[in-house]
Amino acid sequence: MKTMLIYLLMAGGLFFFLVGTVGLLRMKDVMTRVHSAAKCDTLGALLCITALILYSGGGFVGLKLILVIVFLWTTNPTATHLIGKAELKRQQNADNQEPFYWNEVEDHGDI
Amino acid sequence: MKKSIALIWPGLLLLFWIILCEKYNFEVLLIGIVVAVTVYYLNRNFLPNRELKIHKLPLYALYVILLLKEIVLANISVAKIVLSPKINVSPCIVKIKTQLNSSLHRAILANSITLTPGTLTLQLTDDELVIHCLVKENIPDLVDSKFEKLLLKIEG
Repeated sequence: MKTMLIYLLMAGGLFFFLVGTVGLLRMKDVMTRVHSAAKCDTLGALLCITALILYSGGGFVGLKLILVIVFLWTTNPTATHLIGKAELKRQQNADNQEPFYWNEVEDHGDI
Repeated sequence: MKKSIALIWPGLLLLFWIILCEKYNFEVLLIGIVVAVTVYYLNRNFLPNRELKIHKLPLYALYVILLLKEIVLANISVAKIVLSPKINVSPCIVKIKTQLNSSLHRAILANSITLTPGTLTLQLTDDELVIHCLVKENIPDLVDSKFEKLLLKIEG
């Protein structure tokens, strides 16, 4: 029973990692690639590490793995944010004009 | 009240130390307490002591649960977009004003938005967030954000 649960969690985690990689290859520009590369990791890593906690059977190893999740979840948005910000600055410098902001468009009708 | 808040940080550091040591005896505890208090003392100006309230802790726990739920839902929707035969994305950048006052809660909001797939915080200046969305359907959720509502409840 426990082994089955571990297999399921691990398979789910690897599935989300796979989706992240496929997205990285299929998307067109920097921003959309960042989305798929950095984001599917959040749930993928959570599921994989949960499986590892069950496999290790609790104790101090489990607590250390929980720390891994905490640090992954704080560093992941920071890194993603910096890549995004660098791309925004690059766009501003490249054509010397502000990028297109959606809410400055008049009609919000189609969303 | 203020003193009890300040004691949380050395306690957390001590717990961190014990987890890293993988055992608890007198020696580990003694070294841990000395190191934890020293680290806390040196970093006391950088910790958000004034903004954290001890009776708001259950609401923070609720926030973590909400964040987990949103991450799972959003991950599935991004996975659907990536795996569909024809990628149907409409990337766009939006500017959104937040009503939150404290910088801690603004940072939490920005990080939560980045952590949920499909949205990505590019910039946070004063009360304005610049957010990149993968699909336009995400915009109404951002303007009327569940995270912001809960954080306003924590602040108020």
